[in-house]
Amino acid sequence: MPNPELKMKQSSFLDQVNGSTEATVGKVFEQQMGIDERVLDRLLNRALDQGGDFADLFFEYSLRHSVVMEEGIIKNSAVAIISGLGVRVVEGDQTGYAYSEDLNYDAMLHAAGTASAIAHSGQVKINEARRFNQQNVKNHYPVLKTISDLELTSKIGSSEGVILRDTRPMFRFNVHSIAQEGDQIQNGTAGVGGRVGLDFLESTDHPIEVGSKSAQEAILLLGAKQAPSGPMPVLLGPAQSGILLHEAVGHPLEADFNRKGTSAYSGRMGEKVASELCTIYDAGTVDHDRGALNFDDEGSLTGENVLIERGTLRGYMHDRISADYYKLNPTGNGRRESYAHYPLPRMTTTYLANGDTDPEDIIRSVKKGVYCASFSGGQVDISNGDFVFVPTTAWLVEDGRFSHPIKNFTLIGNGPDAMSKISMVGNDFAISEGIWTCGKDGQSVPVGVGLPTVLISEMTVGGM
Amino acid sequence: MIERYLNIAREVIDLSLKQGAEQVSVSLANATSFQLEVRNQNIEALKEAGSSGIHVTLAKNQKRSTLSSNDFRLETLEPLIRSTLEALPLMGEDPFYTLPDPKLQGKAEIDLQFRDPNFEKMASNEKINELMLLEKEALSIDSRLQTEEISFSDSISYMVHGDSNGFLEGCSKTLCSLGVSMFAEDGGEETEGSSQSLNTGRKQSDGWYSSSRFRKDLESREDLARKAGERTLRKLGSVKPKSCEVPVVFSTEMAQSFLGSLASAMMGDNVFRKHSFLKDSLGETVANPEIRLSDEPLLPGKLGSRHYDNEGVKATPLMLIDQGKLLSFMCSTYSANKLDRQSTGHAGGISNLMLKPGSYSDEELIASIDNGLYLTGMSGQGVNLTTGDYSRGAQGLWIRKGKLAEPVSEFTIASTFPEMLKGISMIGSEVDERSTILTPAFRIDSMNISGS
Repeated sequence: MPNPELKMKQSSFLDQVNGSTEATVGKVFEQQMGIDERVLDRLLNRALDQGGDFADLFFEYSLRHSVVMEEGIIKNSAVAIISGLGVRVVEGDQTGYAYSEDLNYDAMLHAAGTASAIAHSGQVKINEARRFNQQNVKNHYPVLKTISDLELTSKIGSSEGVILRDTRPMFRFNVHSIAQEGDQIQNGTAGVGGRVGLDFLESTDHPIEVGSKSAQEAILLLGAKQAPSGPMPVLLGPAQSGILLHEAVGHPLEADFNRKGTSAYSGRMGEKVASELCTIYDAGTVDHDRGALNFDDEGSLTGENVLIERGTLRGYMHDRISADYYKLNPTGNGRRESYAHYPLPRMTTTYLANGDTDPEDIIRSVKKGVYCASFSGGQVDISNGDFVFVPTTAWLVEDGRFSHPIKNFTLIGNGPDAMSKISMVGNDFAISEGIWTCGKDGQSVPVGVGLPTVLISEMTVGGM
Repeated sequence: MIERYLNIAREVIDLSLKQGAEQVSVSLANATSFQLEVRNQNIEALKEAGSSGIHVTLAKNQKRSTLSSNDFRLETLEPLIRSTLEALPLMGEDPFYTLPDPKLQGKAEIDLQFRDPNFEKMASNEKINELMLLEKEALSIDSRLQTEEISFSDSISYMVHGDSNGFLEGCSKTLCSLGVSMFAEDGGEETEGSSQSLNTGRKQSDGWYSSSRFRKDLESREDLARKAGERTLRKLGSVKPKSCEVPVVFSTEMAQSFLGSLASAMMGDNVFRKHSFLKDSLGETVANPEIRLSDEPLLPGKLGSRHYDNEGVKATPLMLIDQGKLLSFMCSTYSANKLDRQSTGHAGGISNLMLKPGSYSDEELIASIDNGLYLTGMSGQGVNLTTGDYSRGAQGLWIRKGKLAEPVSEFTIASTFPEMLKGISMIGSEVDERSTILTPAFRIDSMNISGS
């Protein structure tokens, strides 16, 4: 556990970004760097002087701290400061993008000029002075103490005259353990986190819980047997199993894949794509969750969006470009890793609505199958819908009871096929601990998942 | 650029020592990149940018901290260095952290051909035109093909590393890539027992890319288009195979993935943490006697080549496995101190990991199998370096009577590293040069297939 003195010391780096969101972002960009409305206006004019439908400016100042303790000593601490501006010019479905980490006026103007190269028709009239509307939004992650491993401060200014400011706390606490018995060694890992401050760790027993969970996992695996192989019923425990949704339906419902026609779900709006027990949402509004956002990285407000309603496909996750293409409102899913990346449709927190079956009854219904409680991750092939996810703690279930822990296997399925085989949904809905990071096109963003206990009547278990 | 960075490194080292640091190491990097994506004869995205970063490690009394920033100005770095040093006493003492032995540091004397002299000679318009032509070429191969993305990227990067031992070197590298990603509707053949009826929108996608330090070494438009087209079309109508135990040919790309994981298990950091199934196997036979695996940093033009590692330790070739016997781990200074050895120059990982090619063509590898799998894709995180367990989502082509037959998907392959290493019985001869892992395809005698 980090000692309290160290925390205080490190927080001195953070003095400059303490305080409320508005005041903080204002202080960093306006006061310290002199980036005021006049500057935004000039940069946007430069970005659009070759034409284009829309331009936006994404300013970021982020401060990351990390501390590593290993073998009983605090081995390393690291601090990283990253700042920069991303300039985007959009014309139809074309994107011109440039960024500058140098926030002096000439460097920013140069980036705006580079991004403008994509456009060739003047559709936006450049007025001499754009009037900006300072928009205030609900804060889904107010924080008392701001020391964390990531502080992202962003500000978006767009050619439509909107300015949005946000301070995005991000905290993550992880424990890795190994357990040894004779020749056998096993790993355990556990973590917690979210858009929270240090008060999160101080106000609860989280560090002890996480440490125990990690150690217990390693010890459990020492006694685990090889997993079975072949198609069988798969029980998914609450919370972390939400990875299933992330891979099986989440990625394929990101609208860019559908706009390009590469997703297995392209052109299937209104069709049945899952069991009637499935109502699936993606929402950036889950307070303090790792996937939460007050507004997305192109300034659209987040909301609770229905993706699948009682098995029927109802909506994709959009960024501005795909929303324009489909003539819909953006859903608040335009996200980017940093100022150095342009936004893409991405998930926030993806979850399956609660069912009404007692989870004990679900487990009792299974003659022979596997029960999976925690996972190391997953992956999906968008075009054919095949996905994998990899359990770390799991048990063989025989005659409705946990028989013994099992190890070393991958679950593989096909999105629409697996979702149609969800035959029971529990009433124990939970959101996963905030530990997930999603990768797409070389960009990583924090996400959340959630799920009640679920039974998939048949899925391929890849053991030995 | 390099001169400027060498100066910044000198200044940061001096400043840190003056403020009380005992050991300092500094790395600076800068990359300018250009990325272009085309789809349906339309530019989807054009991105141009330069990015840079400085990374400083400060140590005193066997305690250390690191700081990084993308702002190189001394007025930004000075207060950061000061506050980092102020916080140092709060750290634990770690006697294993040291700078490298100065006798091991230095720059290998060889021209590694890092930089394309013609790098700046191609205008954006030419790159756009090339992609438009490449897309036309790819679409002309078969009417079922559609474009997912045609992409071009190039970059020039500058790197400088220095430390308070007195090591200070820099280099610059160019890199360019061309890629074709295609997809096609896959009506699929209805297979018994599977409920593919819900999956009416099924498609298959694949592609090919070429990547090199020199633009002239990129594959031709015709080759790129043809390979991307063939690889996409050969997946159409894929079925789920029955569970069984069969020989598997790892295509070069899958061989790269497998050997990349194996290399992680040979990294000193994983060995001293007991995160490696090989931790107690030094000097033992761990693989088929055919196997000779080495790390080769001094190959001109290859993507992983380097003159020194991330700590300035001079690069030298290192034999890892010879005649199936494990001869060395790959160590940084820290992991070497932990394991009571010498750094092998592997701070920052492998350079070019090379499996010595055998004499078989890919056709001969396939022809050696009566009933088995030609593996072309893997997915998921099912690689456990600690235990050596291996279970991955897979796709490929089934091999029947020595020939490639139907495409297969939605199944897993499983085994363990020790079994797989001993089961590599035939090694191919054709090496894929696009990776820092230089390997041909190979045959593994038996793996567990979990399907229907």
